[in-house]
Amino acid sequence: MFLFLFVVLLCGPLSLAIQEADVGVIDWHTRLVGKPLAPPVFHHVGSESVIVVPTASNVLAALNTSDGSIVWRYVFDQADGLVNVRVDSDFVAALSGVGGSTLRIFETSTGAITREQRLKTPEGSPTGIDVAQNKFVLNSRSITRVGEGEWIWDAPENQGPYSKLVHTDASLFAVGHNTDTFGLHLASIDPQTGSTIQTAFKHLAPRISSFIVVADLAVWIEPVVQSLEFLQLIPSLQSSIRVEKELKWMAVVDVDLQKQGLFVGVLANGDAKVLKVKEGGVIEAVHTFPANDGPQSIFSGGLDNQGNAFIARLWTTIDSRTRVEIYSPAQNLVQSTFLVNPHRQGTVTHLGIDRTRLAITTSTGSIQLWDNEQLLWTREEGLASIDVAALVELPLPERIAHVAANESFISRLLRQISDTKDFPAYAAAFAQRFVGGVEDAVATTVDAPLIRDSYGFRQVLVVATAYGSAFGIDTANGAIIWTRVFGLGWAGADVGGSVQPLKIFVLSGEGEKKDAVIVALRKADNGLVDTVVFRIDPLTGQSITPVEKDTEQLLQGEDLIRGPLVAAFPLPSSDVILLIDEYFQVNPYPATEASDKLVAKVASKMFLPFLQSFQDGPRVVGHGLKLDEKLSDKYLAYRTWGLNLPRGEIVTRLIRPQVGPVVSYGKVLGNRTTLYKYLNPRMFVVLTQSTDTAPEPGCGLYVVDGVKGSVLYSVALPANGEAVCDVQATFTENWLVYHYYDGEGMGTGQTKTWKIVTVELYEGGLDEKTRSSDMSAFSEDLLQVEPLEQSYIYPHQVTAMTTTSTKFGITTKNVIVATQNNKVHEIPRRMLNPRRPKDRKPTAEEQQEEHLLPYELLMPDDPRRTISHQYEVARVRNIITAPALLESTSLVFSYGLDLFFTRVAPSSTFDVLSKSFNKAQLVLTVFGLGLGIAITRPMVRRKRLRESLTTHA
Amino acid sequence: MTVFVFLLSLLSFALSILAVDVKGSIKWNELCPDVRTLGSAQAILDHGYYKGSIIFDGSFTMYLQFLVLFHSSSSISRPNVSHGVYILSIVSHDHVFDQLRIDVHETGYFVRPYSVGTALNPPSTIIMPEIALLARATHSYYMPPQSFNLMGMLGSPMVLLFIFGGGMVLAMPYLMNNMDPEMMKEFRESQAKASQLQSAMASGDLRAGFSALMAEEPPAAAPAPPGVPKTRSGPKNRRR
Repeated sequence: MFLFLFVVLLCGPLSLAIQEADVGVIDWHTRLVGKPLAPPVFHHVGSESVIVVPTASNVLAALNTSDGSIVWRYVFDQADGLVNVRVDSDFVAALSGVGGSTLRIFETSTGAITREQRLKTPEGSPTGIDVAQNKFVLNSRSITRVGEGEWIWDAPENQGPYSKLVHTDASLFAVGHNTDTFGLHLASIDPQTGSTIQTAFKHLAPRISSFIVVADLAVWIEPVVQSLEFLQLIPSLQSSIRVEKELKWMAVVDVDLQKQGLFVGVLANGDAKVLKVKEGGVIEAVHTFPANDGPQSIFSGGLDNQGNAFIARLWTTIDSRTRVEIYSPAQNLVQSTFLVNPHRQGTVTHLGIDRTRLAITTSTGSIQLWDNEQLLWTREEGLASIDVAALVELPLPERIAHVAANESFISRLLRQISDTKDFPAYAAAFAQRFVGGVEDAVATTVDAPLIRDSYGFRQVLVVATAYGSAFGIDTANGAIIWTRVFGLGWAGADVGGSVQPLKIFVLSGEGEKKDAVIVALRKADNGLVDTVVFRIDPLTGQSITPVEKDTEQLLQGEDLIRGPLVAAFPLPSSDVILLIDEYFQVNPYPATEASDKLVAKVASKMFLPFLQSFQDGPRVVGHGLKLDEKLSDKYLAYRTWGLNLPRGEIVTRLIRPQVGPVVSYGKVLGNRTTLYKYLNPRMFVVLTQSTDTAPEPGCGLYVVDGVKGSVLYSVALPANGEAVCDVQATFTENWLVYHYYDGEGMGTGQTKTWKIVTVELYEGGLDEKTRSSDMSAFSEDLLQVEPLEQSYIYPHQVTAMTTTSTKFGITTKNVIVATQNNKVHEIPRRMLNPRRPKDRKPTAEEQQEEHLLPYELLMPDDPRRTISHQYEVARVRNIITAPALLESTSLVFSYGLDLFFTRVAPSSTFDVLSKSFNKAQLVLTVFGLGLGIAITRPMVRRKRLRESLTTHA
Repeated sequence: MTVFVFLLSLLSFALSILAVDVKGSIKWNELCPDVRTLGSAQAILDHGYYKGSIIFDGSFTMYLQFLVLFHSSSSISRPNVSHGVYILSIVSHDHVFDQLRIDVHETGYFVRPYSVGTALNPPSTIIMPEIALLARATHSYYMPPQSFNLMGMLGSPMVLLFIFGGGMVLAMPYLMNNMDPEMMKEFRESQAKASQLQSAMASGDLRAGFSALMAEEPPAAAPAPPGVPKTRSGPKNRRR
């Protein structure tokens, strides 16, 4: 008993927070920026250089060219969408928001914001946005000068809109092409005063679709006669359009070398000419890239740190290699060929150049830096857009997994003798674990083959992204194990399309192995939609069905449904998934006879609630299963109930409960009475919001029984004037936690704040039980629910929420939340106990039995409970938890923009000694006690002898 | 008729969009000396409908726009009428800042101190001249490492008590042996008194216990044999 207390005393304080030494050992964090939207721009800061990229994840970032790390990034809010980015000298100007209403200017080297300003925006959507010199901002028909000498210029009536802003030594020009009036609108403005110098309109041929501006020329192609036309911009706007029609021109490409007067003209025969604007508005061809053997080329231009211009042409050859030619007026042509594997990274989408260094971005979101033919670094930015993710346990080591059940004595003896060769390694690992602790033991397995560690901390994360790629990630260190790109099946050859992952399941595979099953929607460019299933080996990314031998090809799936997927459910206690198609037919996966039999067996007991689209929005509808051979040879889901919501309220989200083993069926209170948990396994949470047709705006939360559609708990929440309700919730066993903003607290004694509410559902009052977990789904007693709830002020907005999960469910469940200030935080269950007494102290019995704390309105923001500690985990969209082999520990993975993985022990690591367990103290104490015994033993013996002698004497 | 009156009353009002720029700044202090230490941070009103980034000099601006119903009669359309009460917070990863209450009216806003969780109504009577915020604390995420310290372990009271107790157990027989017989006798007497008191306490006879303690000699102790001189100290006899 004393020894136990001693051990507890040694372990106790360690469970509160993590130590600095554990950073990067028990967790990892991957900072991401998202898939680039535009060509990366090199910028030199002294001897260093950065690559500036705006991304589809609404992020503006600068990457270090030496190692690809993020020098700085600015994460724009979702509502503040990035519209235009211009890198100019040492600053980056970014326009964002509705109509490009907000201008921010960043220092390129540090990312510090030097200006943030709201600009005048036109009514309606903007037709053209541009920034020049970090101080002139064009938005359709108005130009704003920001900073010193501010002015606003508005286009005269019937002029504009404009889309390009050009600042030359002579004047400031606005140029716009109007497809309605078939003309070029021009305006020259005094940059100092903002007064109009001249406005003009030049009539163009009707089929001209776009133009570029280089130096002081506006250049475009006349597609009918395939001529190159250009107009010099002079303050008086009196110049006339000049035409070059000796060659047949197809297109002009802006390579971002406007000041240098360089651009590219593509000819009808496939040649591409580098053109330079000379004095007096004359265009001269300075170089010709000969026609290439692949599809359309990508052109890019850039300056090196000495100001020399470079222009590159990139194309993919017939043998799928990437070929690049670099031209510089000052140097000879450089050619390089390298392989950007289209089966791993997709196709090249953008190109940036700095001398011989090339930054390329791909369709799956990969950013790569190449120098000549050498790959310097790669960033997989597709991971910033993960759609589905699952943690998969690693298999046992082969020698353990392959022990036959009926092994003979001889073979067992031989096996054990052969296993002794591993003894030295085992002894060394044991010694290391004894000295170093758990973390070191796991860390040593990082370089080892992918096999299960003693504690199950090391698993494989299988994720699928919105850009049609899948990754396997090692949870030990966050390294990417494999990358695959989804194939398009029949649409791949000529049609084209995209793959959108919808669900991921982990099913038992061959032997002890687990398979990852990704259910995805394939949207072909011709409008056809199919549901495809990719069944892959999580360790290698290799396709299992269909069997794949060569992983160097695209990952092909199994076309399961001709049409979209409506819902997917795993069949409990089996490895079968039910996929519901648009005709409500049940398609079991894998499509085997055994699956069909299983479905037939359980169909009468299956009730599937899922979202169904109606004219007025999505609704939750409950379904039963039946087989009607007149209609279909498959089971059909038929409607049994619909959730009746108030008028104008629509469903936004359906939250399924976190499923895990239930250990305790009741809560024993301090006075030895019991509250029995309402454990209806068919419950789920529905989040709703009101539409314009609702009598008053608001949000709703309902806990619904999946069999009958009866509402077990509901609450109306304020909408706070927002178009989209921001309610987060998580549900497990009988415990619901939700978070919302209460912005209507202007009454006396009220306030506006974020609130977190904890609700526990019980079968009734004290000692009342109905055996809800064993009850028939149609029993009337199932409607007897007694909610206990309490609300707390929470200091932060929450973007995602879940509960921890452990192997046997014995460990306390804590809530994990991702907050707006880029943290992942753990809230202990004790703090969210709805029985925390108000206006009194908990009794000694309550403290002892229930660990009750007195109620406090404000939930403390304890930084030691921030499991992401110093990491800035940006824009978390979802958190998943999975059990480790240790009952005390739960694995936590959050994704959104950044990835973050850690493990938590809600009830402390009671089943394993922590790394910081004071082993030296234990050893010294045992040694001290041994020494004491060694000293006192002869003394005691002597004393006894003396006493016996005295007695006998 | 009612409809007509309603329409008339509507005509006398006009909707107008008002724009108010709420400007403030973070004053650098030793906890947060510059924007680099602060990192990416934002000032938000309420739940973030209005936001402003903290720029290089610590300043921020939030551009508020809202619809206001004006009455055509100037007596009703007056300035300084509150059009919203907002709570201003700084969203920062590593630093803690105070919250402020901002009461926006047509021509500007009032700034009041605000403590998280307190009621908005009635408002504080203190009006602050500007929005100026200081970092109040820096988050400390880590628990200090618990390294093994032999001196620390030996210096802990429990261990000291243990060592002292063990030492006494070992040293007591030797001390007893080396003690002067008279002192030994006194010691035994005092021990006997103490044990008597203890037993008296246990039996509830406190008086007897105290009288025994106060007595010169224990009543139970045998009187010194006659003829034997009462020696007060023995050392001189013991000296050899």
